Amino acid sequence: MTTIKNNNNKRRVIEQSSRAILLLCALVSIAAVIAITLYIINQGIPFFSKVSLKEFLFSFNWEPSAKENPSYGIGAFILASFEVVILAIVIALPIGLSTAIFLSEFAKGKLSVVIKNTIELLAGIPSIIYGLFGIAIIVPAVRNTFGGNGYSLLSASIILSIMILPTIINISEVSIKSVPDSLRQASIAMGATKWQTIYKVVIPSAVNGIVASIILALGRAIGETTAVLLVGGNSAVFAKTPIDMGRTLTMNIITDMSYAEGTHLSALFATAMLLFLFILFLNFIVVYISSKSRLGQSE
Amino acid sequence: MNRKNTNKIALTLIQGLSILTILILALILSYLVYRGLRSNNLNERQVIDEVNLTLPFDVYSNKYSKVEELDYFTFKKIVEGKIYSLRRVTSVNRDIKLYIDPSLIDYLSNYFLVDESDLLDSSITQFDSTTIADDKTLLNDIKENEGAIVITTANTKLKGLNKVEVSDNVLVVNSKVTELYGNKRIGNLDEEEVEKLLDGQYKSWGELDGPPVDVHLVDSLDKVESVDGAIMVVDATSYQRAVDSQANIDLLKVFHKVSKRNLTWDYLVSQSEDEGKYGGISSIIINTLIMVLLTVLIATPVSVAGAIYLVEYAKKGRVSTIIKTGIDLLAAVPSIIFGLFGLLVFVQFFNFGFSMISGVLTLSLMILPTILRTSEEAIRSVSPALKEASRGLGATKIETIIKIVIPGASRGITTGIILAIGRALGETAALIFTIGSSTSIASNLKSSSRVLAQHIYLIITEGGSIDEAFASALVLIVLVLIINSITKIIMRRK
Amino acid sequence: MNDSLFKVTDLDLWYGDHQALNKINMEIQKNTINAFIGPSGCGKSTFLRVLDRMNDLIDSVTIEGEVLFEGKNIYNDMDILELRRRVGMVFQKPNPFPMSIFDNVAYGPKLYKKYKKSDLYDKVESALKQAALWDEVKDRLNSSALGLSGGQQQRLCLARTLAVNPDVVLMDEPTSALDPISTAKIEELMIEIKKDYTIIIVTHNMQQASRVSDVTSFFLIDDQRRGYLVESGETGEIFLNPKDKRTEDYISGKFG
Repeated sequence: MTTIKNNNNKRRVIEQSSRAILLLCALVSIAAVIAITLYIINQGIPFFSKVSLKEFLFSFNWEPSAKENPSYGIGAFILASFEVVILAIVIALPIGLSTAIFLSEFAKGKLSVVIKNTIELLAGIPSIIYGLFGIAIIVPAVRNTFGGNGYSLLSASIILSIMILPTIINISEVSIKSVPDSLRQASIAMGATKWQTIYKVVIPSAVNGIVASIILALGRAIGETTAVLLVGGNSAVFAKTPIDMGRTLTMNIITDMSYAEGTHLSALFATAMLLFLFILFLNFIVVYISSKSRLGQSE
Repeated sequence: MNRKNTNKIALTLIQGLSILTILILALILSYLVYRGLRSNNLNERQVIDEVNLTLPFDVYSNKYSKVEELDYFTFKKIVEGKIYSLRRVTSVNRDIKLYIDPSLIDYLSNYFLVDESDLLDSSITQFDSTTIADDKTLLNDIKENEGAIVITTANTKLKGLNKVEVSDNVLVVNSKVTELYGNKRIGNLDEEEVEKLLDGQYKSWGELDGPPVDVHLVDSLDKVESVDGAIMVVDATSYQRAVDSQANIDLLKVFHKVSKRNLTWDYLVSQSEDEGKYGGISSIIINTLIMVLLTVLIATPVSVAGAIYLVEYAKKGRVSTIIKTGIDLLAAVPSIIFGLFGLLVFVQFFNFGFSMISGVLTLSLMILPTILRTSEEAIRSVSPALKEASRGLGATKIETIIKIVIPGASRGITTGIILAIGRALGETAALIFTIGSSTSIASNLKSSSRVLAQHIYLIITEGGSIDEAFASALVLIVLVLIINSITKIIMRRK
Repeated sequence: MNDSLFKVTDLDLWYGDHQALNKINMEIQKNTINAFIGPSGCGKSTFLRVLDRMNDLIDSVTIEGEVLFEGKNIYNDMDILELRRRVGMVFQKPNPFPMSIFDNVAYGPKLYKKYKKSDLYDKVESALKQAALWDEVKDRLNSSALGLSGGQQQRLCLARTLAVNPDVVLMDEPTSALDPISTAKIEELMIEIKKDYTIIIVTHNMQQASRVSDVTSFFLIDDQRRGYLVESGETGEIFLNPKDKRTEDYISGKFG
């Protein structure tokens, strides 16, 4: 009897301690997020005692290695980042949304299976390979079509637009599929064409999900580094047009990181801080949208 | 009806754009495979493509050296000892070792216009062409010497070596032809232009961006020098001799198309040399596998445990919301920021340096949400009835989890792990500042090491050969595709 | 009553290999209310959807036989979009679009041509009045239709259907999701708009059929699970004096 009792006590101890261990593991993610935030802030904040926030954000002059009066303005990089991702969305949205509509409204059989596999594969291709592909195909294509040397913000946008297609397609498709069939039927029964139904009923009803997909894609695009670095030209001078070479926030971090020190180094962490802030902001928008649409459904 | 047409157009457009995604993928994959398997380059050469088949000597090279053709001028420099490594010939990192049949020395010194004494240099191995086929020691020596270039008398058959083709005809022109005219100067010709030129299809050099001088095909070097716009095909030896005696003639350079196998077995299995500039990628592939294995070993227990806590223990409320938000945010953090974090924490704070372990720990954090989310879903779908049955038999919660829940969710967990492997395989930005770049196999956790995706990045940014980047990219994409199909197979078995 | 609007001859319908309707013959007169009754799965809803070709949305459906609308074969001689404009449909569950009340009703007219704002407003107003919803919503035309009660939503759907000036309104159990008061309102409406429209209603509710309809058609399933028409006639006759024994059993069974 006593052995069983002892054994049961042991089991109870194991039960209690395992619970604690599991909780600890579950908390790793949030701990990592907090640690990342703190470390980046810790390295970035001292920068602002040397350079004003205004100069950092709005100056277009990035000469961190200058012997006299080095300047740390990332205005050009912020603009370039936005230019690149917005252009990428503009290119990707028609293709992505069409594919999502096609998958949810039409595709049955082989073609839809092929498209679904395609999207999975596109999502699985490493960004370095996108970059390599960009150098070999997109850069010469942009050079031949628009002039310049081809290494440009436009090339970066085109590569990014392919990379964010799976995000746009998958999330839009889910939200389009969740539009109740009864709405489609009501529209069709009034003599609307398929396109009128899609354009006037289905898309407006799924608009929250579509917007969420765009914002998530924005987040992915703005944080992408390797692929844009290889095709974007990486010139620290402000790019006046999309076919000029330019540098985004991520490119700025990765380019100078290997040799930067002192204020220059903390300027890079300040850049990372800004990037992180953008990502957090975009994620909160998504959370807000999805909570809003959940409320809308329960109404 | 108007709106019917609109309908038709819109639906066709939707379908067209959907199919475009397939075409984009097909383009990317087929281009990668093509460039990975074949390299096509235009090399500038001083000789035209025609191979000289009437030479009284044959040239062989070691297969490893990839030397399959030589132009007169490169060959001359090799014989003179001015080019001593194959790096400048075929990008193979081997010193050249010459083997010459001494009976050819007289001819070769006249052919290359070099002193006979140069050909008798002690670094050059001499042999007899008539007996070489039976000389096992010599043949083995040549096969072991990967930079070997062997010059035998004509019609000597040697097995197991590359037969090297020699091109030695050049396009000699009157010096007027290559003069700067306006802001233009005649450029390099391609194969087709050479053919048309020698066929008399160009009337004026102006058609080739040269000066407006008529094209004259002539038959002696004297005429080339004296007639404006004259051109002639001549053997390189005569050209060299004329130039050496101060003749006022010029040579038109020609683009030579080289189409070769790119990714080879040798490249896969041989060691990397000179920090990845030459040699193969075997050590890099091994490092990649070690990195992925360690990452999964670290990330899996933590993620699965976290998933179990979320499903089996966490009550709906603040703790579970905080954990879920943490996972969502972690999944959204860009890899470059993981890289910076890894640099600050693992490389500097824990002082692991640029090492395998720094990279692995950074990546583990990165793939954690992938495994956790997939596992969570799988664990959630384990039937509650099974769990209750286990509890009913007196099993504790943790015993039920270990014996019932984890086995029941194993397929989903595996899928998550494989998805995470796919992500880890292709990661670059998070590793650049953490894992180091040494091309040798990581001997311990603290050794700097290079993985495949990062290798491609380094080749491109350090100005290495784009062909090599494509060969490595093909290997990487094949690994990714394999991972992808394994995921598919596991999911389909449901 | 010789003003025949629909004439259906020997209609068979299959879902893939399964035959769901067998040799249906029926005539429907103008400006009448026609009720389709019968047990679940007898094909009455399927048959209703034949009349505005909503079954075309399902790939596996095949149809044989002839359906004439004003003498024209709806599968060959009529434009499908025009057919659906002239034959409107109100569904079982209210399905207003997630837009404003105004936009819901304006949806149909705007499909066909561009209207001036004032004209559109007139159309919306008259449709809402016909559906007896105007007084309840005239002050909040721009608020979301999803904020209306179930009964109001169903009347909005009716208004939406009426806004494109159909000849026929098909109603697929339009009150099954509504409370008795809302149901009574819809029934009143049906009788009221009968003078302008032909109404065909599928219902599980015998009392509803006897209250509102002029003509009742009774459907049953045979042993091969095919739906067929047992009999069709004036509602009074069918309920009080059915010719067919099966009709009598069903009706008396239902009435208890």
